[in-house]
Amino acid sequence: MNRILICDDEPDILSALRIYLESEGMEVVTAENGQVALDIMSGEEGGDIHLILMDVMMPEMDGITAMAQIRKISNVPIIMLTAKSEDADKVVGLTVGADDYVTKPFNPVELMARVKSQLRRYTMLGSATGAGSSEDADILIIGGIELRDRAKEVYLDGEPVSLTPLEYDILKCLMTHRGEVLSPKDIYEEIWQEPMVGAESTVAVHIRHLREKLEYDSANPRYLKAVWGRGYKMDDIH
Amino acid sequence: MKNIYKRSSKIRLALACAFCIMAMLACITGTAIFACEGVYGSHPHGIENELMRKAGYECALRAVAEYHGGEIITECDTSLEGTGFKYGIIDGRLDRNPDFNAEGVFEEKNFNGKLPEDYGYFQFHLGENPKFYLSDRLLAGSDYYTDWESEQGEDGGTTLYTVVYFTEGAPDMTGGYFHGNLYAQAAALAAMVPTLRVAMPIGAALLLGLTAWLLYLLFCAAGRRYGEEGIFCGLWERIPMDLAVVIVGFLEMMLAVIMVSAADSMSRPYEPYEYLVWILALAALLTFAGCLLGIRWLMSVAVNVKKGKWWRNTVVYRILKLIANCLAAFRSSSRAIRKSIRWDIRIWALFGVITFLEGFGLAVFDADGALLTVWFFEKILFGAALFFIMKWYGRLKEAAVRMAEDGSEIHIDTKGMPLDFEEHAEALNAISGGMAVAMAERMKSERMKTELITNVSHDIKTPLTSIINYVDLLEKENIEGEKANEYLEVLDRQSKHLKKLIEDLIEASKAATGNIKFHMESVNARVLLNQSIGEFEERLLQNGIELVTNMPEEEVHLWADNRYLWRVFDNLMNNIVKYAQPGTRAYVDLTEEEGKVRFVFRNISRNALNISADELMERFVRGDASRNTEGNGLGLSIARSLTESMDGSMNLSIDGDLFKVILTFEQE
Repeated sequence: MNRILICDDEPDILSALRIYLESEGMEVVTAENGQVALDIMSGEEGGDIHLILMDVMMPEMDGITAMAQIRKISNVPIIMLTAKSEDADKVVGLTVGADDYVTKPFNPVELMARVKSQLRRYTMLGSATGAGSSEDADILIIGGIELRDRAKEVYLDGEPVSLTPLEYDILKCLMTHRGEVLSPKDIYEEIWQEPMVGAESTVAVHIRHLREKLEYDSANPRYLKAVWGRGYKMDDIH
Repeated sequence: MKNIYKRSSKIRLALACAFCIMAMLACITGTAIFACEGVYGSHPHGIENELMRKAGYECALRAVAEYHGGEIITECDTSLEGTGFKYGIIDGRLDRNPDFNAEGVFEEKNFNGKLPEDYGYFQFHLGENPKFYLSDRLLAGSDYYTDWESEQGEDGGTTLYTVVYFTEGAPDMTGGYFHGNLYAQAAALAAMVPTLRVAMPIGAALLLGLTAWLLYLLFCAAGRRYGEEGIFCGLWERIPMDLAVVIVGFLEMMLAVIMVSAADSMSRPYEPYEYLVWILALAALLTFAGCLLGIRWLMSVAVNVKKGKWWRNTVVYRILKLIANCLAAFRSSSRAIRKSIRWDIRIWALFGVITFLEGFGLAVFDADGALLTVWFFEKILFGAALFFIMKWYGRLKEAAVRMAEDGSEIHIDTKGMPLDFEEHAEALNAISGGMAVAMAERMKSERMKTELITNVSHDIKTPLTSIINYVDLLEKENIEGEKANEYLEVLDRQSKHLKKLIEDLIEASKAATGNIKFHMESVNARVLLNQSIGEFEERLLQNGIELVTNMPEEEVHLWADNRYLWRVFDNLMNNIVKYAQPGTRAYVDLTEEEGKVRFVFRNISRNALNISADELMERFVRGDASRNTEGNGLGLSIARSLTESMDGSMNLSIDGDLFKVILTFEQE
């Protein structure tokens, strides 16, 4: 049984999150501000907490301060909930110690997937492992995406995803060149093994399909990022 | 009417015009002849008089014969058989040439008052031995009375013989018009005269109308091409208009000269008749050529006028412009030289030159030097005054220039300035202070506005999160009842719409106030365009919109922040998806020219766009008045703000239902 600490000053959000998490069979502990969360983490219960969902703007102690304090005593995964969608706020949060962030208003399905993804990494792969690159060349992992090359299978947060052969090839190509920007031409020529003539938007169409299958919010992709005017890339998730 | 060139070719129109003009000219000439001279150019009263005169001859001959107690000798000549003419031989002369009055012979035999006045010099002398003279000319229809022969008499006088033909009783028409029967010909012409007198002016007027109409059509068609828009210039239109007037005028004059000489040769009665046809044909050809040339020139004038600013296409204008350019170049270069020298040095130099000239003048004209001392002191005083005035003026000038350049706050030191300068300086100081305050106020209000929008939006987000989550939870509760589910669906859709609206609002406010940091980099326009097509292809097809793209073969790079450039594209493409009429094509063109990269988005709007392009770019304005489609009217405003922040420009145009957006960026 996973224990989740939710920290938000809005009781309605707290109870909504409780309903979601409990329906997934998780145990929920709530805190109405950063100070309470810090107290819980530094108390006896602290060791049993597997994940923290932390709002940023709260009275008494805000989420950023609380995270910084908690990081001193625990490396439990923290997902930041924020109404601020500015890049700067995300960067601060991630620097201080958050493992992931979700912007308000969030999509419950996406939030649950991220919670599960973080939990799996924390409990299964061990808390020491960061964002997963596997030693094994057969298995490629980026964030919640796991690609098993021999079996030609792709899992998203542990759930199998059905991809067409072309989509699979494109995903594999991007995952092997992680962190690199690949132009549509590079991808096309790598996968089709022929020069790209008159099929210039083909790759973009496939990427979009991939995004629909692998992203919760395809308008704001986490994995399959477009560098507009250059190409596409997949980055390690923090 | 402007499409007339589709129905009839310009050449056909021109030929019709030329023909009409020619016919019109012929008619006008005919009318003029009728009006002025009559059909036989040399006779004042036309054909009717001609016939009358024939009768007059007969009377005259009979009278003369009676007076002399003789009779008219008539004898039938074989060559005149069948012509209907009989002839009488008169030993005498019929002429209107007054010179003959000098001959004493005629004076004696003058036939006082017996003949009509028209024939004032019509004189006879019947000799003892009448002689016969018959001219071939008579048969050819020439003036009969001009053929005469003279004979020197024993008394020193001259006797002239001529032959007069006349009819007796009703004219005999048996010979017919085409067999050299002069009388028949004359009678036929005379019969036509009343008709022609009316018909020719009317014909001329009708032809004038027709010509005018054809010319109007031709002017409409001039400069246009079948199936193409706009006015086109041919070789003719490129000729400067005043030069064309000279050239065409000269050519027309040449043609006229040839025409006149041809007409002249035609009018000479003794030219062989068979050339007449050729002369007439030549005259017709020349007239035709002249008409065509004139029409072509008129067309070129029409094209030039239609093009607008026709005076630019003249030699005179070009020469004047060249002169103006030379003058402007001279002025700007002299201005540049003047500008390169500091203003105070310039004034001192001017002062120096004037002083030198004055001194020189005084030295020459005021040799005794009485004025020189006064002048010298005046110059010293003037120089000192100039020095101070320029010092104060310099301070004012420098401060004003600095304020205009960057709006920076200035303070002019008024110490030692006379009253007027001090007032001016204080006014400038006050303006500068006011400007600084206004700038600061504006910055503050802008910043507060952005902050307000951002903060309010953030505060809205928290309750909205609850709404979205609880709606989601409600949906999971599997509530019974069709209506309840329908309501839930509305709640779900509207809460998501609200979420999007708030996100867009924040973005619009940030983009408009320039609160975004851009990471400018080189963006490959072709790749960007293809990526956007890939993103939107299926959504466009779902909405029944066919996307057509045109882009150059070579790579095109522009300078922008790729994420925000994508936001612009995303908004514009979303617009097409939302607002384009299903079943139509949408176009996205990429062009590159003169260092600019241009994207043109075109689509046919689903709703009638009865608002202006500027209004559409305002925040919260949408093309459909009912506002019941998705979207919130921020898309174009965001796109424009972002584009402008990246040193690009976004232009919108609406032409009926055609909606067009042009994005222009600097080429990398």
